[in-house]
Amino acid sequence: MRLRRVHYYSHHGRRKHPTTVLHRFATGIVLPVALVVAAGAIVTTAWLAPATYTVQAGTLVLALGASMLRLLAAYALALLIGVPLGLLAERSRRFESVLLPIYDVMESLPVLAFFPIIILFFLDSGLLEGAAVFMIFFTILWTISFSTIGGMHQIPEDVRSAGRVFGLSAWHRLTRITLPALFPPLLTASILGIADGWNIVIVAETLHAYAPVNSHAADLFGIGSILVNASTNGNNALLLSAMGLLVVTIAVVNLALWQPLLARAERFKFE
Amino acid sequence: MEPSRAPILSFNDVSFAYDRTLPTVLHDVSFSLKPRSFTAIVGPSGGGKSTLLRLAIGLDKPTRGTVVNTARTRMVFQSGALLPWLTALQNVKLAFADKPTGEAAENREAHAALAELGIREFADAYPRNLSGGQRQRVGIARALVAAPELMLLDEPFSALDTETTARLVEEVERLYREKDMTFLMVSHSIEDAVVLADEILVVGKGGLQGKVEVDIPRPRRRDDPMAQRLAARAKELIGRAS
Repeated sequence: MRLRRVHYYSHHGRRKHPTTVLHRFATGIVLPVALVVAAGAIVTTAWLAPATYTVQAGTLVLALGASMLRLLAAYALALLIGVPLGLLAERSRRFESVLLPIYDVMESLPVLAFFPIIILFFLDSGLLEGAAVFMIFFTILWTISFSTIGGMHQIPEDVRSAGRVFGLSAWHRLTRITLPALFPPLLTASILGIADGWNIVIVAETLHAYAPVNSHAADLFGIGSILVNASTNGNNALLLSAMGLLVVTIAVVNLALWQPLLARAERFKFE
Repeated sequence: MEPSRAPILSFNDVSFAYDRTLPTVLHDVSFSLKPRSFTAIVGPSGGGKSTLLRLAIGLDKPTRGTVVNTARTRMVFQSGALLPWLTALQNVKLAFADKPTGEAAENREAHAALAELGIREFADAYPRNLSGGQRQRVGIARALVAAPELMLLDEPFSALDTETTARLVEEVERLYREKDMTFLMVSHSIEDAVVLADEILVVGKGGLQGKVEVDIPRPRRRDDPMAQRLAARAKELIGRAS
């Protein structure tokens, strides 16, 4: 039987050698999960610990879903705001000279340092969920904006001129030329941004660790808060299960979503 | 009744700089194009040739003087300027953006333009699967649909090999003979300019440095002694403009 050949695309756009679906499954899911879980098990010696508690698989999956929804909401917001911010900076040399330094500083800000203030702000508005989403959004936003600016610079001048020469309206130039041309850089930015977002999810759900004293900010239900609390409480089996589920999810998303999109993005690249 | 011979494009004392802080690229340039004429612009690199085309189609505005363009204008770009995510047919149909005629009519006209350029069978191919010459043909087909009156060609053959260039020069020459269109072409090749144009404008040092009238009967050959003499004359003017 001949195995189906597929191409593997690095997140950084480098096309790698053809491989098989079976090979991709092994290197894309089984190996990373095995490595992470094995390393975690060895370090925590979880397999030696007596099973004093029950891991609720359904709860873990629900928590993962809650975290993914936060990530998705923050990512959607980052796209909606980050792309226009990038387009605005790229609009003229004058705009770029004013906006780029601002974006540079904003990107360099350690968002975790401001987390207590963000928590207080959202606590006052009664929307604690917003604190986590805002943290993730702020982390992804600048990756999206800078990729938009970089992507715009990659559109050949002739192509930009063609849109105007053939009488496309500003809206049609955006939807028929600019946005499709930005698909490859925005896809890479999305992959990297969501990876950063996962990092922030872990801490952004553990509000009790960052909330000012007496603010009564309870942790948000999610895979991040379960991970941190399992670690703090020595629930190694739960910690390993949550880690394993997280790695499986990320690996599956890579294989089932990012890889096909990266392959499709090749068609949108200028030579 | 005799058709109007009023110019369809005129540059009147046009000066241009990309920015107030940057030096002026063009100084007091004046010329005009008669309907159904073929004019070539040649000159040293950085002399402002492509800027003239951008001014002619309104992509840039003169800092002084006026550009009057009364024609429906289309442009063929040096790189083809095709969108890689669209097929050849879809790229051609982009030209209907400012004059939509309906899906069926646009498909018919786009197919006809591709057929005219000899690439009908590549209608569903993506630019990455086409050769340089085929891509440029798609670019020309895109400029041809929607009945343009003035066709601007920005170094259309510069990215092509000699053989492909020769074939495309013949195609452009045929289009000029068969269509009711005026052509303005920027070229780095004096020989292409002599084969195609009725008039060659030499641009350099920020202005028009001279003009060569080409009154050789068509079709022309590069190795025709008269063509070679005119090419030598144009090169001499370019030498002075460099």
